[in-house]
Amino acid sequence: MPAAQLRPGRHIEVLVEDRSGGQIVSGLLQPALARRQAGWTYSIRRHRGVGHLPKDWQARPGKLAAGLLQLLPAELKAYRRDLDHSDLALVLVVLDADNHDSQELFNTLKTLNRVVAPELPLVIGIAVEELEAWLLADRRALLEAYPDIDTTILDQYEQDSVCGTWEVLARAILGSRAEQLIKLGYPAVGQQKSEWAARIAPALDPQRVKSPSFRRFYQYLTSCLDQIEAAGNEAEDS
Amino acid sequence: MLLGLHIKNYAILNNFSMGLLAQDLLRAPAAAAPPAPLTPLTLLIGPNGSGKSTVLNALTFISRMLKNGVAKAAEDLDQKGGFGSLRQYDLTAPICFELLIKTADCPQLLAYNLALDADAEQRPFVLSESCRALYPATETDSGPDTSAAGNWQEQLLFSCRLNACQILQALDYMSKSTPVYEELTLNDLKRPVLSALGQVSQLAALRCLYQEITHWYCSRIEIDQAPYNSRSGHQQVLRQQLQTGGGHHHLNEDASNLFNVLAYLKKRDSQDYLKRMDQILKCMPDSSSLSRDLFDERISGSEEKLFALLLLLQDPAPRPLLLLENPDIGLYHNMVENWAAALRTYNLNHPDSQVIMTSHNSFLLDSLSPKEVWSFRRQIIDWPQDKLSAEQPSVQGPTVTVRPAAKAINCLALPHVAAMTAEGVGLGALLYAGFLDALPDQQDSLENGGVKGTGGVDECRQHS
Repeated sequence: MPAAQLRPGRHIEVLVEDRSGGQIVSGLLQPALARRQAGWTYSIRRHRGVGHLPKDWQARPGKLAAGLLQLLPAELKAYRRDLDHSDLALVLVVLDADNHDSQELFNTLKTLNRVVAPELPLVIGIAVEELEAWLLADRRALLEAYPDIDTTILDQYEQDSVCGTWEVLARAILGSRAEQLIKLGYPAVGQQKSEWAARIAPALDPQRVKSPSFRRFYQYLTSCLDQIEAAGNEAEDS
Repeated sequence: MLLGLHIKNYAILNNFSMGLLAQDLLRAPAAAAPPAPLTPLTLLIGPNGSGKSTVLNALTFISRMLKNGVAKAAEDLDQKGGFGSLRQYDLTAPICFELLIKTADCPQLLAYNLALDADAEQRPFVLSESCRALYPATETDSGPDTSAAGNWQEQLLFSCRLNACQILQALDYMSKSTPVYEELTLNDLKRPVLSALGQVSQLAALRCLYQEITHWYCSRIEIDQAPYNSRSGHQQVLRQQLQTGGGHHHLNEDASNLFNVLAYLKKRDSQDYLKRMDQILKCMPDSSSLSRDLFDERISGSEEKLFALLLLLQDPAPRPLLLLENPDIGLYHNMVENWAAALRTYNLNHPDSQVIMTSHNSFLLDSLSPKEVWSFRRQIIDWPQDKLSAEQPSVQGPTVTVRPAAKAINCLALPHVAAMTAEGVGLGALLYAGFLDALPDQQDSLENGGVKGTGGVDECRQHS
């Protein structure tokens, strides 16, 4: 993280696609921040789905725009305005790649950050296919939340593969009832995901989550937090 | 125009303020900038039970007290358990209202205070009442500036406590000489003195204030849910009213005099009536079943409601304040959007007519700017147990209990809202993302603990 982006504040704004994404990230952030130097706080900002990035990053969002990517350029610009007179230290954006290429999406978001809000420290987390991949990567949390979960299905899952991630979780938790849900599709699926996230998230331990996409995100996040704290300590000592 | 209000000991409104008050303007110039006044269009949002309707009910109560006296107004209170259960904080302290009002005809701002108490049988009476005029100490060309404290002065117009009342002599209004007050004894504490003074006083300011408050309009327009057969009976009743009642200049609370108002408008000026009907029908979606002259019986309940709400905005002599409870209930989203647009036009055409409304609707929210929206929160505060009981406190000393208290904060003061709306993010999206929540949800987690610095968290630790 460039030194110019280091701020004295200790608040993190977290942008997510939907409620279940918010619950998952909250479950991971809460223990991670609680372990650190006192004073970190965060706010989860959920959106109504992901949408698409607008073509013109400088234009205002469309009327009634509600998706994460639709609003992202405007939100980054808004946070940038508030940098000097708020507690804001860092912005996280966490989404899943769905059926896009995650590296391409990552690069696009990095460019967006550089173009519309270069002073704003932004940490990007992209889960392969679905955010549920991060849940599937913490076996102990899954067992704590759902003691009867079908571990054979979990054993068959290849971490971070593009295989129908949420369906794996659905089958592991619901067994044969999962097929009905899969047939129903959204929005019922969204509600169920939210319920699973609400149960599993409190049991998550970011240090146990084995997903490579998560580890990349978590390592970068941790190093940013370390850097910010170190700069704060230096400022105090001097 | 209601610029601000402060209410104490009224249901969940423990020590509640919104907008600009007299003391904010009279403070020393070195003090912080006064809070922003309520805007001509004001929307109250927030979770259920957070006090939004209570604010509308309190304002309605004040208006009715001035019109009908304290006893009648207390009977008509829209409060579970009536007047006797209004005091939920302090059973012995009075209920206090303070308003800061700018009337259309009086150049000074008027600060009106009213306090109620009750006798042993819980019958209410006026404990104290006063009105002060506020004016800039030095004249400026641009007119009074409510954004800076310190340049304001006040003059007491009248004040009374129980039966003793003093009223400013009319000659001394806004004069530089030492004012003379006439001493009076009041016989009747069941009517606010402003009801009498507002009708006969030579002080024009008091007449303006009385006119203003007694013309506030409180709306309860609901959708007629009756099945079709009995609805056509309802339509018959409405048509009959057309023949019988006359002179209905304004819609009443539940819009049951809709036909009378239409008849009055037609009689008053038939060309103007047709123009107004055209404007209303333009805002009605797919209204092929409506004719300009009379309601078609096939009109649906929600179309009727939308029509009434639009007719309200066509009032040729608009009331100074419209209090609307959930105007969007039962209306499809494009009806809400049409009505929101008509509301904005109404506001631009009638800057002296204010609308204060409650809603949960994000289409309505999207049509407003953040300074027009107030976010309510119901917080739990510590409260001494002995104030809640008429009995003597126990020998161990007063214990502390918890009570809910309403708090409202202007959305522009919430973190990041100003920047987000400046960049084009809609208020509806900000509501969904949690930016418009007045106070943090979970007090003991790290989540949302960062809503500090707005004064929200600190305020909730203050007791009155």
